[in-house]
Amino acid sequence: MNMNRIKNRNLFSKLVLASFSVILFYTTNAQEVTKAKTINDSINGEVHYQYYLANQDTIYNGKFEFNSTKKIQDTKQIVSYNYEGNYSDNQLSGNWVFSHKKLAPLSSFKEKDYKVIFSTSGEEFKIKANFKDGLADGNWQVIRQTFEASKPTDTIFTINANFQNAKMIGALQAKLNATTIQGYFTEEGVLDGDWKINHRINNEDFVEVRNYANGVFKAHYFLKDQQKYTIQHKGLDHVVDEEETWEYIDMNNDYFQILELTNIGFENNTTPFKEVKSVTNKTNRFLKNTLLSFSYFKDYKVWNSLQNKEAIEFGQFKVRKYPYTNTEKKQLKGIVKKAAEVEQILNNFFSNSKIEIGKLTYQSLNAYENVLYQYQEILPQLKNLIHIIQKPAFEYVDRKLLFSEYKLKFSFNSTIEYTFQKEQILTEHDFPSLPDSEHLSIANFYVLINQMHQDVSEIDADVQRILKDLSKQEELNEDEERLVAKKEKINKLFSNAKKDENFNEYHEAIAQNVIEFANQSFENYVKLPVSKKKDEIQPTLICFEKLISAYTELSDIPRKLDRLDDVYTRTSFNPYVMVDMSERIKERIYKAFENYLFPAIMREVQQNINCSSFSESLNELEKTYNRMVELSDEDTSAIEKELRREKDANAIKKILFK
Amino acid sequence: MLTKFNFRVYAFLVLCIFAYVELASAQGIGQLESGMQKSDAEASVVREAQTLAWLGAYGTFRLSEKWYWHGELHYRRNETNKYLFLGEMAQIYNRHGIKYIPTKNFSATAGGVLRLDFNPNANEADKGFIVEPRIWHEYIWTMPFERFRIYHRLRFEHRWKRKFTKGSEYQFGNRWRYKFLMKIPLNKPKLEPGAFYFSPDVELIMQTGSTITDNPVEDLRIFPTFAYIANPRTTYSAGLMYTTGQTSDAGFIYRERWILRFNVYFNLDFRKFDDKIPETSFYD
Repeated sequence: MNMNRIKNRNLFSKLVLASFSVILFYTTNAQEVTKAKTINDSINGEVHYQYYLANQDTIYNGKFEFNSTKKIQDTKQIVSYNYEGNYSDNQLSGNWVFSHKKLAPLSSFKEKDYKVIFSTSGEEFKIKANFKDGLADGNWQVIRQTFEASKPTDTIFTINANFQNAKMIGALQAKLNATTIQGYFTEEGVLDGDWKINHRINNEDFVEVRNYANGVFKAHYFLKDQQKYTIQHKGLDHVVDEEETWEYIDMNNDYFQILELTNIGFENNTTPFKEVKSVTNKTNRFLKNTLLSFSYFKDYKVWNSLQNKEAIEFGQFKVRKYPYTNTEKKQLKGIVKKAAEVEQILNNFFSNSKIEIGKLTYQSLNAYENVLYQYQEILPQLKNLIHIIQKPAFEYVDRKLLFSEYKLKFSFNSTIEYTFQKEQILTEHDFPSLPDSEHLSIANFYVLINQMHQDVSEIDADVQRILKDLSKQEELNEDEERLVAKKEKINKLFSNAKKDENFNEYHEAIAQNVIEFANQSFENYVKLPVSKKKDEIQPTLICFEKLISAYTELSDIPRKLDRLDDVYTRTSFNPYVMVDMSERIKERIYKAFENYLFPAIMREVQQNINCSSFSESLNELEKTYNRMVELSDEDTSAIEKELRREKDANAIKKILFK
Repeated sequence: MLTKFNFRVYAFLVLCIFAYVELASAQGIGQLESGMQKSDAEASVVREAQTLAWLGAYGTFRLSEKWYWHGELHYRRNETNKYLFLGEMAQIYNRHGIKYIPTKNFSATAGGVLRLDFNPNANEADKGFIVEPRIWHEYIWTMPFERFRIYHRLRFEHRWKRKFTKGSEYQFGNRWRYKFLMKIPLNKPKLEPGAFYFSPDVELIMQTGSTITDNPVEDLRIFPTFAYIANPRTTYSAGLMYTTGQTSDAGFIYRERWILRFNVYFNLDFRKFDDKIPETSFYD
């Protein structure tokens, strides 16, 4: 006995000592600090928390308080973020309160402990939460309320829910003004049973019931005075079959989109109110916001800003999936892409101011406008349909059933009627045939969009060609202005309208012919069709430019002849008579040029007034002149010998250019 | 271009000059006759006119920008009883000099003359030919007008002269010559290749020296010439020159000569080709 007592005493002493050591260890390592902190990289405030260090890491443990109060610039309003709760080894634990307030200080204030305290009015969003090991657990409440003079006045909405191990379970109640929601989650966090939403519509009370069986949407109806008004969800499967693909999907946009897509209104034409889609969509939004509000304040992730793991799993729904085939996936992509291209082409066409101008000249543009206008008319309907079918939710509906709800309320008029140059014209256009609602499918819709795309693209290709032509025509207009200016310049120059001192006998000899040629060329050009004008304008411009250049070249002939006279003249001083005397040198060459070659070239110039030969003749003159200048400074005895008695211009030219 | 009016003016001018020459000639003959008849010591005596022919070649050879070599060669014939103008040898006359032409309107020349006088009829007391050396220098001014040019020439010759008589001494004398001439183009507006021109030419030759006592007027030459400028290098001229002057025999005895003159003028440039380049602008 004694021995046992002694042993028990020793064991007790050891336990006390160990406990004391553990307490001493924590006591010596636990710390508490108040400092500035930024949450979510945007909310600056002051934090006070308890923690300990483990391997140099801060481990939140114990009380945590955060406050951020900031004045909104250029207003009197103040925004505050507050967290208050506890951590346990870096995990959210126990009761937590998040509060966001938007306050406006009132004019009245009082002083206490050297602090001036203002009363405020405003609005508060508050989450009262419970956590266990960082996961939502226990009762939660979300409140949105207003307050006046620092006292709560109105509660805008309240939401109460239970969590277990992050999952929503059991009953959920929410109230937003006159609308209330009451629903249930299973232990697995799946919607179950009747979800009742009370509405006040047109001063009448309705209860909207959405019935779930273990997450599967079973029924949707409104109750009023014991009368049931069922909402038909077409394409949304209610019965789980083993061969079917069913999935749990989260509380996200996709699910409510599925409900919106399939909602085709009340059955049997019973309509207690008209705005059924509006009301059910409002319920969807309310439901979504209700559930999300446990974790979100607007876009601000309330709890994820404090820890890295998700504290809440939102309610789950079970829906049937109708997976796309690979072909359908490609067709869907093709529909979106080609429809966008069609829209782009149509926008470009109808925003292009040149089309209106082009319609005056190009008949086809009038027809195209009519055709494209019809495509533009149907485009909003097509876009709406594309908007629907490209939603992820579309894969969760029975498309064969649902497509019949989307009727294209349009028919192409294949008779195209327009007025062109005061003439009423009727033509036919082969539009793609629109699939009726019974045959509408992704494949048929793809065919329609594809045909539209092809038709519009072909039209666009021709339109682009026409626009290019129009641009060329615009360029042509500028060129034609230049052409007219050049023609007038030629007329003025060669008629010597300005009494130009450089106008000489050589101008005079060809003036009339040049003017007639220029006028005739211009007249010929004017008579050409536009398509040929494009080809002819530049050559005609070049031709006229040559004629203008020719005027300058002809003006230069006297100078050149004087120069030749000069270089073929030697002046020497005669000491006998005491005068300078000039004499012709290389007289045979000079005379051959003066008497035969030059006149022959000038005859060529006069007789060949056209765009090619005219300038060639003048070039010939220039070449001959240059050669004559060269020869004046060369030993030409052999040439002079050959020129003896030579009178033929061609032979002289050959000799000179040997 | 030679207009009709201009041609008439030239023709009239030529006629006037010839008329003057003829008149002077007639006057001289008349005076000789009257002097002979009167035997008046104060009356002038004019010898019977002689006819001669001078063939001349004048060369002006350019040596540098402003320096020229001037050379003249005359072949002169005298009349005989049998032949007028060309009867016998009279003189060979060589004149050379260096000419300096600083401007287009002035030239100065200096050099020597070697004249060979021939005496085809020499007897024993006479020499067949004698040599007369001269030193000469001349200065020419020109006066350009729109349609003609006037030339003034001053020529000074310092000569050693002797007679054909054997043993006669050389006597030094000076000649003082002033010449006025015009060159008037007839078929061209100015003197240029292809131009025919008329040149009225009058020269007075005075002389001084120890032997010159009463005969200072050696010669008055009136020489209307027609010339043709073939090219800047060659000019041809021809004319009949009338001269008269006091003889060395006595101051009152005058001689008269009618001399046919044919001249050719050469102007050659002896400079290297490169030096000729600026020629045309040399005087500008």
